[in-house]
Amino acid sequence: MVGIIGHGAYIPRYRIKAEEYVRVWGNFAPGIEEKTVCGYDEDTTTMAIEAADNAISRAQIDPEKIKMVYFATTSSPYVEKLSSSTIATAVGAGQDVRTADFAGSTKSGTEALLACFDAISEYGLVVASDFPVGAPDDDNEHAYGAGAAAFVIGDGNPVVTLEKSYSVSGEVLGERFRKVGEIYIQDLGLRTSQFPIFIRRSLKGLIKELGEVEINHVILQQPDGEAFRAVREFKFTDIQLRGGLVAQTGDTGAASVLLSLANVLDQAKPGERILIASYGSGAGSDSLSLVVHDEVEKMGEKPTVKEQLEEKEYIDYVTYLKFRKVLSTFGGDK
Amino acid sequence: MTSYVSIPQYSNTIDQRYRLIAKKCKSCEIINFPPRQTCLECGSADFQNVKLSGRGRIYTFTIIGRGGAPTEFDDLQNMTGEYAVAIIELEEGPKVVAQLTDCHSNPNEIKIGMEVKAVIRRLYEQERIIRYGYKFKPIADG
Amino acid sequence: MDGSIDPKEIKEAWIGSLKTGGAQLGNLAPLLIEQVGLAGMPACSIENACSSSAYAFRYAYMAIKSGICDITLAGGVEKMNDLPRERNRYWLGVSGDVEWERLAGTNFPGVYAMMALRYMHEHGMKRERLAEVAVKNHKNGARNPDAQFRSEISLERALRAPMLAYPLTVFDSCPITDGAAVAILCRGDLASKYTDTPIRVIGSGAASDYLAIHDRKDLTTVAAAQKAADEAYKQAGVKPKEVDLAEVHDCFTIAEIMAYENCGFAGKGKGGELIKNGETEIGGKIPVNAGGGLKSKGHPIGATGVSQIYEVVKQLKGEAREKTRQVKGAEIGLTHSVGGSGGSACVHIFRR
Repeated sequence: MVGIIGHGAYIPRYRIKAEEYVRVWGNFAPGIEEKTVCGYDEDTTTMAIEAADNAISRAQIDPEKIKMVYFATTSSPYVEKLSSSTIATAVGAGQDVRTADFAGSTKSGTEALLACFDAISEYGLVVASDFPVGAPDDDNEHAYGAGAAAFVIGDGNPVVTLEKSYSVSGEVLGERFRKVGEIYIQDLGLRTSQFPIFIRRSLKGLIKELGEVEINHVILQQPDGEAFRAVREFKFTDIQLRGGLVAQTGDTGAASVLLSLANVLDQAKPGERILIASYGSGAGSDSLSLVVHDEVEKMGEKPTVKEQLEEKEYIDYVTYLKFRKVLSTFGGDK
Repeated sequence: MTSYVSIPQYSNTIDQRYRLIAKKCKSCEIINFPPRQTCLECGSADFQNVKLSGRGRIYTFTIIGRGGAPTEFDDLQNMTGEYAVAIIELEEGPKVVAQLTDCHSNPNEIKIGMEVKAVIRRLYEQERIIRYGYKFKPIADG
Repeated sequence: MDGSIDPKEIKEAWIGSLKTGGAQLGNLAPLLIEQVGLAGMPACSIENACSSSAYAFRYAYMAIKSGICDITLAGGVEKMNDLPRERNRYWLGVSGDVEWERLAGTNFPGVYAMMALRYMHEHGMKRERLAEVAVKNHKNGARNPDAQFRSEISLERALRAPMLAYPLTVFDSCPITDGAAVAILCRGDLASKYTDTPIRVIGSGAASDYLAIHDRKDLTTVAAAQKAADEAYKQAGVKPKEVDLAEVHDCFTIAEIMAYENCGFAGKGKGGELIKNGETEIGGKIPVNAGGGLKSKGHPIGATGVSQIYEVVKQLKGEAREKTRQVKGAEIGLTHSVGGSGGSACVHIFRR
């Protein structure tokens, strides 16, 4: 049976509070208390390596048996050059491995996960890591937070199996985009946001295929603390939605739903069903249903998402700008 | 103007910088890291690869004051201020020089003997290439 | 200038320099020689970081000992003050292990700081001992007209100075310096032709060590300097207690403490006691760095080795004119030079 046999997460140490943004800019993204921030020497690749190491230890496999490494982010350190190969090298996946970067959308995390499920041979590693980059004087930047989640997928005794998935797509203009050569994410702030429409469409498609089943966890793409409004008609309870992390991490982009999945797996019980709905502007949504198995109780001990969220140090806004290299005329390069 | 470790020279040490692959001497079994042409202990040139755990203790350390960094680290120092460098005695035996990260560069918070573990971070950038490699961070409650 | 000689009598020259700044990286020695009208003479640049010209002196000495030359020249030069800060830092960090040490973000202050901290940890030495070295060397430098810093400092000032690399402050460190020094050597039996007070080289020892400090077993000693000193003493047939004065490589104050031990003036881990008890002051049991040392006289990298020899020769001749600086009745002097953090070292012993 193919499924997830180990998961891992990485949350960087640094946090900036909503109040600190309010002090500097007068406002902050709704529903976020604080967000996670990379240290000066971190990026989406280093976070991915740490999350992947955690997942591989939990799965208790020899990393040389990994034959696929799929990496998802909207914020790769290189626009052209494979980060998945850097990650594969760092985790010791050997050289006979298929690597792929999924980018350009906040739903690239679920794209990578589904692609790996579709083509799995021996063991596969899926990592989503993100720290979206916005202009400091753009309100959209406020929410962007950092984090990574990784999953080892393989044939064996899985912790979680993929039950069904349902994807939707369409042409959406003006939401969260970057043209060639641009550093910062743009968003025209249209009142006609397609986020709720796409999330609802893919969830409806999935639920229709699932039929009448018990749903224990619902994980949504969370660009801010108000994503739940999009799914009001499904009448999900707070308990079902409790795996969401946006209040503590901010918007972790391509890692958003998979980091929440890692958080849910830290505490999930055998037999539980998890629904995931991702969203990427421009546009599409993937919905997945996953079922938890007995092996969830036999996983190796690694730091949980909750434990990592508690390990934190607050920084002020100027330090934040320095860590993000916004104040550096070199941008880190010498 | 910077010192120069070429991309090919750096690439030759990726196994060490990303994964802490050491050379275990086949004759005296001492672990050499970073790798050497001849064993530090017995002079043999016959090695096998072993992966280090990345765990160790601080053997000695310093805090590089403002303006004191090698030029590759100018931007790091400008953006983060003073930073700590330590010699780590790894649990497998070898000692290695590395930056400490995710900790305060305060001599009252860093102690000889403190437990640390390796993490992969951005070391510096040169020729627009990011040089990743190990740093060490304190193990909480260590 | 000591004595007089027709420059054309010199047969070969060795010039130590790191060539900081890169103004003339190749063929520096031939350039310097032709500029003083000696074009045609064989001349060679020697580079061993901070011990470059100590090695230049050693090779000039060996050339005479081998019988190939009667008269040789050893010199050193460094020009550091005209560089932008960034370039200076680049050049200061080229002589340690680059691949693993420098790329971990450290440099010489950092490396010596880690040695100092380990030394203090293992031998229970207090930071005051380091500061006392700086105070002494400033006091001596104040009496040396050739010194870069000619003012005394207080212990409090040294201790409270800004940290360069914990636990070393800016007063634990030598400065950036321009300088040059030259010595002319000749066969012992010919010396009286040129000077009434020849100073004899009675020992020349040199050694190297693992360049990267993480490969060294003991960080509280400079093993290369120990080996070089042992060899020099053996050749000279003298014991450390017979030495009347020494110029040692105090690039950082901890280096002077370790030099006391490597030169045999103090037992292992006991270097701090020597400075505490004032035994290395002028007038003490073994005056060290009567010329002010690198700390106060300055550290023009490539010139430092021969500049130490210049000071010892002056002292042995009794020509350290400023009376308070002269070590009275000095007969045997020692120079101790260390390249980088101890990758190379060279020790010479001289007798009046």
